[in-house]
Amino acid sequence: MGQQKTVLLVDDEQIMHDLACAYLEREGFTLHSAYTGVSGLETIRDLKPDIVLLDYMLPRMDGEQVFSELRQNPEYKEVRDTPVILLTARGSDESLKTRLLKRGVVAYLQKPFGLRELSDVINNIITLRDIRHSHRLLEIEVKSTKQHLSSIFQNAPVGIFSCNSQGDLQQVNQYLLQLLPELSQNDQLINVLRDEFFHDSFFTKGVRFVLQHGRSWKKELIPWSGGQMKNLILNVHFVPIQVEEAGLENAKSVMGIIEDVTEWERKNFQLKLLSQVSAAMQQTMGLRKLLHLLLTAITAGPALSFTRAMIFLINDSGRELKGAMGVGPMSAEDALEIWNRLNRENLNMEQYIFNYGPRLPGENEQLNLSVLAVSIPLHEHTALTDTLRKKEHFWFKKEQARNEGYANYPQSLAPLHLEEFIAVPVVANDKLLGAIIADNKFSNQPIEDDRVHLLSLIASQAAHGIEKAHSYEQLREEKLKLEKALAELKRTQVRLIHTEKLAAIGEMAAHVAHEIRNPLVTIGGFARQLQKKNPDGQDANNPAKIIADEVLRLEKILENVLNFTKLPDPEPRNDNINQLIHHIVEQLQPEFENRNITVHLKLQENCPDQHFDQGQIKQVLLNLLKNSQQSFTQQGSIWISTQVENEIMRIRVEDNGPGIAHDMLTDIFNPFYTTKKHGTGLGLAISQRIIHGHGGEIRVNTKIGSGTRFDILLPLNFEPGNQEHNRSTLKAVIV
Amino acid sequence: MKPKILLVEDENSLRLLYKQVLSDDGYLVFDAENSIQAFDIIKMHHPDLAILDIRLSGEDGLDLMGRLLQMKVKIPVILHTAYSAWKDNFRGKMADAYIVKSSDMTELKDTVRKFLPLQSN
Repeated sequence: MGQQKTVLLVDDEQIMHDLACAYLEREGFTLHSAYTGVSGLETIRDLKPDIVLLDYMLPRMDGEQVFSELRQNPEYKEVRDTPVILLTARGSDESLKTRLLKRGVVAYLQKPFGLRELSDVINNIITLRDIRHSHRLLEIEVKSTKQHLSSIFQNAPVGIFSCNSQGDLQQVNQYLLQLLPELSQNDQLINVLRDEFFHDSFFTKGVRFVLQHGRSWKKELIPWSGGQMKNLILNVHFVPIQVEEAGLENAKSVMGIIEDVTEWERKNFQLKLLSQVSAAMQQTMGLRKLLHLLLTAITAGPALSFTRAMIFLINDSGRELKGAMGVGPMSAEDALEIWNRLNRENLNMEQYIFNYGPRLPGENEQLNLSVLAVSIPLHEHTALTDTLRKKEHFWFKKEQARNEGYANYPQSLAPLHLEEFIAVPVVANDKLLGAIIADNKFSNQPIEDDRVHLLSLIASQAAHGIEKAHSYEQLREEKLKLEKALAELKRTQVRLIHTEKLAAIGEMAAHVAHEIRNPLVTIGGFARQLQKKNPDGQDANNPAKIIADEVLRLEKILENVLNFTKLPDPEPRNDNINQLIHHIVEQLQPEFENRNITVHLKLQENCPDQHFDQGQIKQVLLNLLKNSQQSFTQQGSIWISTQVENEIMRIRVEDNGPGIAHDMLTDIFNPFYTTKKHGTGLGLAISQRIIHGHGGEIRVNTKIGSGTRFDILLPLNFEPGNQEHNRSTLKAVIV
Repeated sequence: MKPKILLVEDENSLRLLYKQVLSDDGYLVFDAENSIQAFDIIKMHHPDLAILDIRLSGEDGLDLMGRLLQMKVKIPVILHTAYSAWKDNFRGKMADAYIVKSSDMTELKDTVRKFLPLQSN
């Protein structure tokens, strides 16, 4: 013990003082002395000794009286509990001892006593007193700790509960009761394992898990809706604890912490949502998909959590906003149904929008249809349209006063049964593209400021997305057109190839037929001569007649073959040759550039329109230009000119290529004659037939080493099959 | 006096045939193989009608016809060819007739008779 203990001896015998002093001081005590009861009491009061040795036999006031005084007199209140050891004489009354011990004297010693005995008793008493003192301190501490803990428990900014092995809730703090008021019914804590409301909820699952496995159970971001359709996001952590329960030793119990992270998560989601929406708007996607994503973002999850969202887009005239899409329930039952499903499926926003697929669960087509049927006339003077025209958002509150004669919104919106709602404009490049209208119909939650702000932000992202989608749609249309054109081109090409094949067969047949015709005419003609000179010439059995008839039959077959294989008759229309040439040159330009070929045009000014089959003449020109182009080994020039003279259009295609050898010149218009590796030998033959078909001519002039010139001569007034046409004019013209 | 016909045909057998047929009909036929011979005949005999094949070696029938016109030789010209394709040719149209060759020479004979009626004897 650090501090010296003080002992007061109250005794009238000096010898006692001397002895005690000598011994106790040696033992480490400080001894004070008093010789009467009165001075003893005063000394106790003033010096506050740790222990008092009180002789019973004192003059005037005996030990019992002194003790009584000490315990009862308010003057000694402070020192009332000082332990007192009574010293008695041998043979004194036993009942006295008992009485005094009962009254609180801690011990008594019977004189004469050993000094060792005295110090043992003193030490014991002091130890006892110290123990009692610290016990009292401990009690106080325990009490205050308990209060402290209870206050922490009750006031913690997090929900805390404990329940026993049967699922009976033992303790639930204030916070948790506010969060989940259903935990208490009629001021009684419920049993979480048996409660209807919490059936199959995270609460029941968690408690059951911890009780079964004895391990902790932790879940984050659990969506939870209370009775008032208030959407909460909870983090929960349940752990097993060991608590002694009556009759059960170490029974399993559960305590858990439930944290409401709705606000935090909402802020988080708002940021995420914004970045997700903005990312989505950067992608190229169809307009419908984009709109659906937008509206889903506005209605699903805790970030905005509007019940309904609708989007309207400006029409072509710019005078109306046409309903484009709506997402949301049509009735309170619907809303609740979606609400409950959301909870059951434990979806967060991200999963909701990006994993759930194109169709919102419980999406009611009815709202969508209603929205599609609505258009907002922008020119109408209402609070809504005036605000949207200014490209500002419009927040209609139920309690807002209605001005007489100035409607809040156009009558056409009536089918949507709007109450309180927010409308934000969708603006890109200072142009109003549309508007988003959102409300909390059926949930009746108020619209909050920060959500309006977020909605505006999303609308501005949406604007860019919508603009992009528009261009995407246009591109797609263009692409479709191109694809169609390409398909048409391919079909034409196939047809052309087919035509070319037919033409090839035709050419061959025509060639053979013409070659056969002359000998046939000779044979038949002479047979007729023989027949005429023979008197039996008309006899059916006359060999000459037989020959003549058979030849005639062959000629007819030949004529049929020629008719069958000839090129289709030209279908002339009034067209302009110069235009056709421009068109062809433009078409071939990339190829010319590729081969370093320059094309010079020298076309007749004010070239009159004329009758010709554009497709056929185009084929001729293409043939000539391609021949020229293929004849060049390096760079070269091609000149194309047109000139009208004497009612004849002359188209000249001239090049400075290698030219054609003279001995080949007679053959170039013959079918199947070719100098090219992959040529069919039909290009010029067919060209010639086409020009002939137009009543024209094609001529060639060439000089080895300096070039080739083709002239196409076409009568301006071509009318097929009219032999008598303008014969005299022509005669005049040509001569 | 028999009407005179210039016949230009480069194929020997056909030339022989037409000459025979037209002669049988009562015409005086001068036949030529090419345009050079044809001009000699024109200068020497002044034919009343010309039957021209189009495809000839050297100058063709159409050129020949053009030259006749240029020379103001104003006689009917019949183009007589195996090719029906020339029928619509702007130069072909200058001819007075266009006949596709056939072993049945009725059309040719009728056309010739139209331009050169024979005195019935």
